[in-house]
Amino acid sequence: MSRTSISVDELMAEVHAATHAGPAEPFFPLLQFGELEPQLRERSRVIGSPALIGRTTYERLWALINRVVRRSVSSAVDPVVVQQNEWNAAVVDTLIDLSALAAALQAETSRLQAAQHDH
Amino acid sequence: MTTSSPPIDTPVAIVLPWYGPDTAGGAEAHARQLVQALQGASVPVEVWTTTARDARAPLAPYYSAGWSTVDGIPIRRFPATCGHLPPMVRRSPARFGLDKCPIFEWHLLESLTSSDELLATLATERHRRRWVFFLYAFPTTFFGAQLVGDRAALIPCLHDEPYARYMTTRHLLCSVPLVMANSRGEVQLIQQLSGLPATRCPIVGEGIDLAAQGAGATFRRAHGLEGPLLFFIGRRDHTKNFPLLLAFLERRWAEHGPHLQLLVAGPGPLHIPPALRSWVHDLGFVSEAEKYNAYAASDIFCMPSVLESYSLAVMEAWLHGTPALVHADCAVTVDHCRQANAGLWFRSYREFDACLDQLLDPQIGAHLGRNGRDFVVRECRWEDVARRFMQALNS
Repeated sequence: MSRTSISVDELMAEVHAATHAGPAEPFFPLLQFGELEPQLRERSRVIGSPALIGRTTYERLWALINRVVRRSVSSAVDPVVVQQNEWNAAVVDTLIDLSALAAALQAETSRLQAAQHDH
Repeated sequence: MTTSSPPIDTPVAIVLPWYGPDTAGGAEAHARQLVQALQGASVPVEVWTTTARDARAPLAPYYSAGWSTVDGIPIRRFPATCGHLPPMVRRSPARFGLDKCPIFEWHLLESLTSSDELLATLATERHRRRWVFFLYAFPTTFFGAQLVGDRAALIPCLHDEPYARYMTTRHLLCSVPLVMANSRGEVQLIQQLSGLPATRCPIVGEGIDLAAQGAGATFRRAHGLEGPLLFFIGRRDHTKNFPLLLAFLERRWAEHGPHLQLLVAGPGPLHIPPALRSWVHDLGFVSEAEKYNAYAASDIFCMPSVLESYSLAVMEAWLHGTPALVHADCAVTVDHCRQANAGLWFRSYREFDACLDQLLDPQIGAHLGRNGRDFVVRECRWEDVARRFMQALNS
């Protein structure tokens, strides 16, 4: 088709028309899992002593008391936090390894489908 | 159009976390070229920054502290700090508006590269310069801009990410007298987040090196490339939405065969399943000349990122006559495609697929590529950017 003037808005209208007339949108589960991965890693970490910041005198006093209490019980709490973090990291690593294996399988499927088109 | 630039007598100091010849990053390159353009326009300009290199090595001393000169521009460097709020802030958080902000926003400021010494020196010398702060999220900008008050201007490089919606961001935008935007899309976001009037957020924009000229045919021969090429340059991770591009392309290859190959350049590892490797050409981190050659060799340039305040890569592709394909959720790149009439945008896979079909039509591709080149030559001269910068600063 020969065009004398081309506008991107007109081209996008053609794109939308083709999209609506075409097959349904495919599903990309591995892509969605990949988007979750940074959050998964972030949320897998347990912090035994989150930062304490007091903005008012009252809050600062409570922050100071909290710090003293934390220090006195740290020998009991810290090993539990370490164990929990090790377990969480192992689970996250396993999920990510499984996702990589699924991605490799999907890629192989795509390659075979593409080869069929070429023939 | 070029008009005479208003004179600036007071030195202009650009403040940003990282700056230097070996420093990578889009905003850092923007700052470097702006400083050179200002110097070319005879504006007395200097840079205040840290001794660290860039976001990939954000704290370790890389450059020497103190004054030095890079390309004739005075640079003043201070040791980088991180992990705490500056002492002056800890003493009175309310002075910087932090008393109204939730703790997790304090934590962000604590976690990013700052410099206690830079901020302390800036506080003592605030009356001697006009200060222009780059990158909205960093403590050097948040605290520095408030320290210098009405002598501050901000180039936020803002894009629609969660941090942009923090109270600290709104507080910063509202407390700075002048916010210079890179694009119309960025102005809309600034106004949406802060309610600033248009007069306080003029579009200064960015420029590119218009003399750049890649050799596409030579590049294709050297790399043994044939057939249609889709080019992507940038970090190959979620920040640039690269996995989406790869997933959509894989689907297209499965549906239509591998007639369109992917050419990729940029820093960082590239994880491609072995089955797809013959269709993906990874150039890795490339020189400027190689980058321009790749733009010239490509049929389509794709920028799937939704976090752009200005896409230098899209402009460089257009300079080489290559049409762009961008993500529909990035208001800035979509607006540029409309302004230039030189690119299409997608949100779903079906749209991506249909856009590729349009752009691979030789007549459409060549027409949009020409439009892009005309737009860049018209809009992206650094001399014009420097003139708009000075007009904004003097307004």
